[in-house]
Amino acid sequence: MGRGSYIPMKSAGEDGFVSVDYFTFSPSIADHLKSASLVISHAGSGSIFETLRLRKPLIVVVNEDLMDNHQSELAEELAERKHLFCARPQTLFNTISEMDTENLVVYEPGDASPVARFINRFLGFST
Amino acid sequence: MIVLGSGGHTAEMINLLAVLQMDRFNPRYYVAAATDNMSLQKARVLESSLRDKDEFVGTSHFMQIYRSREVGQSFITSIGTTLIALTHALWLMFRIRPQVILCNGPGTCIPLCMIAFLFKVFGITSSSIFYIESIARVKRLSLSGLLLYKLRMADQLFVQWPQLKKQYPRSNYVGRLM
Repeated sequence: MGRGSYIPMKSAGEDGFVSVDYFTFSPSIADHLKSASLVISHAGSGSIFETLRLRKPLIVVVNEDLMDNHQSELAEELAERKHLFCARPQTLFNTISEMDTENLVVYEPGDASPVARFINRFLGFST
Repeated sequence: MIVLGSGGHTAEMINLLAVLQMDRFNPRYYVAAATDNMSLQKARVLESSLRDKDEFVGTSHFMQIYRSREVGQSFITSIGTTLIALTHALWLMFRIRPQVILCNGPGTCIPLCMIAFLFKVFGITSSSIFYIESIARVKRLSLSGLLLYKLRMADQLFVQWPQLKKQYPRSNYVGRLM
């Protein structure tokens, strides 16, 4: 999927098998996220915060083969703060089987007002 | 002047713009890379939602700038495209002469900030440059952030994680924007 060569098989989930569906692009995955009980995502900040905002359990999988790995800093920091779980492709199965979503800490959304106040003060505007 | 970058950068910038009083920051010029399809669109959505809420929010303009370098581009051709990008940035800066420049990371902002800085040095125009490092940068600054920090080109450089404040003491820690 994406730039990869593996294409999963769609399945309706009969005989106790997991149902599988896929799409390559959707303008908004908000509805999918809202109905999910677990989200497994790459480490892009947009994906991470969109999921955390909806307070869904999240496993972030970091691709260690990627040259530019600055994305993993964010995932690791948030995992340390217990807002999500971090995994590598090789450890994903273990992470899912052993994770305890009760221990996750809800991520409180950030606030851009401090920056705005700083900027206003610097420019001499009244705050 | 608000410099937009792809994906996460624009999302963070929109978050910041939503809490700034727009009547003080007017007229607004949104600049995005020519190959970035989504960012200016998101800015337009923000501007129209502002107009729906308030009578006076001022005017907004949307412009594209040539990228110095695309991901994976060869070094030789990068020299040419960087020169083109610099010339375009120069032209934009002359046209707009922004008093305030807001940017948060994409390479798009570097030619603009450098020219703004040179303009200040040569007394052509004086812009306040605010750089907000992306929330994805926890332990190290991005290349853009590092350049602006080391060369002291930004008037204020903001970071979202305390580890960065420790490493770069001249930065301002402002917590998370997202």
